[in-house]
Amino acid sequence: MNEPLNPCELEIDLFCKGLRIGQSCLLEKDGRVVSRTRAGLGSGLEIVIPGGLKDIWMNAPVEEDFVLDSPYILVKEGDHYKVRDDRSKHHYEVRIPEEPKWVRSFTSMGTPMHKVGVLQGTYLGIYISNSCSFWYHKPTLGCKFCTTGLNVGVNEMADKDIKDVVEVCWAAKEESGATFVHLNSGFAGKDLGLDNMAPYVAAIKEKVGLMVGVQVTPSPNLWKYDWLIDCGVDHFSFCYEFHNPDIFAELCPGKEQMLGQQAFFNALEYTAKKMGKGRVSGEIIAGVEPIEDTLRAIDYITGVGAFPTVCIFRPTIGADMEYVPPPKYEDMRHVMEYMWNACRKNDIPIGLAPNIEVSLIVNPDDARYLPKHDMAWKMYEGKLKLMRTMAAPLFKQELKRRNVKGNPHEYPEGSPEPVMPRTEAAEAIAREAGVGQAS
Amino acid sequence: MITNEDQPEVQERIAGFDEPLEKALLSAVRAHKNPFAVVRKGIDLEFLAKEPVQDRANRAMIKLFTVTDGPLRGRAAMFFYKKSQIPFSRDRFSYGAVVLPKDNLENDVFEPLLQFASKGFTPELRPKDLRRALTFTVPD
Repeated sequence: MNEPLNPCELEIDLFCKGLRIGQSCLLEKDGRVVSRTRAGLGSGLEIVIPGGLKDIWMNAPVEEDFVLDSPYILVKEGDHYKVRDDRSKHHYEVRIPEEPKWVRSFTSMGTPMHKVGVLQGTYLGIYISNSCSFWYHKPTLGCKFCTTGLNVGVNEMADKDIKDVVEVCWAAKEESGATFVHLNSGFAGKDLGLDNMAPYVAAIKEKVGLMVGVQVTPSPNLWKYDWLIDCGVDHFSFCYEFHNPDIFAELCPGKEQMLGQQAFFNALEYTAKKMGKGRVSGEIIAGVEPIEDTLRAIDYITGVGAFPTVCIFRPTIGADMEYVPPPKYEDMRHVMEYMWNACRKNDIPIGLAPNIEVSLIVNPDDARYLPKHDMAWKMYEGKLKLMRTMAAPLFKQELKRRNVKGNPHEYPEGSPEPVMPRTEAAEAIAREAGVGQAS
Repeated sequence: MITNEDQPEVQERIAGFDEPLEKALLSAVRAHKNPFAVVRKGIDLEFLAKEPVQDRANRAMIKLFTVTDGPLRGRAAMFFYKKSQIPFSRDRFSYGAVVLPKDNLENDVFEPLLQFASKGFTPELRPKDLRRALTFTVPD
């Protein structure tokens, strides 16, 4: 590797190899708290790689054993941080985002704010309920790459109080300029994921004024998505992890047994149709299943009008897959370039919302550094720029407090009786809604 | 075996752990074929496994503590974790905990737990009663 990497290439290589921390670094003073919360991906160091097209936020792996073999080391020279590549001797300037003051504050109920939510890039991530039921089965049905269940009672509070959540959202908006909060949760059982989220969503919309994303396991009761939209949801994401059904079944035993892969496709397609292009995402992990399956996943997700959020597999500490090696840079570069091209071909609007940088993944618009900057590239970039300008007033409106239409504590009048996943009734609902392309 | 028991401050610390359970654990670690070091800080009795794993230093730590919340309140438990590699991080990387039996604490209760730590918490050696998702708080 003689040529220096561009910012996205560096991001990808750091995800694959990790970053050692040099003795000269003063991260306790200069950086954000490193904390394993949620599924474990956020256990790294938040860094910003500056670039001409855009700055890239990433959460670089620093804790895992494979990091000890990384050629990359973070060093501090004067007031500046650099990532040094010990192979090529290239130096890359990086910025270490400061820890916001609110992180060390307490809510009015006395809860440490860092135990309620964390900034991952520029958005606020809150794990509403950390008790994923898959972890409490015997034998465990937790996803093999995940460490969610290992954090409860150790690094994170199990269940979040709505008042605490609202206060942390306020702090993140006022002090850090956050525009987006992502609420997620493990498997709640009995199709309660969306029900549990509704009061939080409504409270954030009415009392704070942030864009709200929700990620829970898919509901077969597709009408519940309409209800959540009425309660204020701006974005849904569906973590189906692997496109290859055999790998999905093997590595996500809880999702396979309780929900089935098809349930993710049904909900993804239904919400993408309902909300329009670019408002819904399909989340997958690259670097475990064959690359061809990952590319198929990207084609499917973009084909239904959603955008792909592609995590590079990280063998996190404590996961069943801790000793599986991370993927190769060359493969991941190929995947990310393919992702950008798929978004372009399917006209997916990416990077429009203000100040949403997700540090755990290679964002679709991070990947704009990867393809050749030919006419197709320029046309798509030009279109996105125009759309950003046109959409700016809408986003500004969305960041104001507003009353929501839906009642978060009751299903809308006339709602059908909820059905359980993996039943004939659930399949009938999907058939009626005309979803299920992936099958 | 305990690798740092010859140090006066470790001897002093060990002398403070005189509950039957603490004594039983100390005895099991002393008798174990693989090395462990007594952790010098904290309220609870803790050990760092010293057997290298894949030619790297072992990061596995064990902590004996009493559960103070939830339905298992008052029971003794062993917590398995690794410390963060980042000096200022607050993280403890949990591998779960085993709630210890109330009676009959023989060395063979501890043997699989110590073996699990000696091998760096490899999934193949997970103790059969390991609770990976905890319903109680592990004290700092």
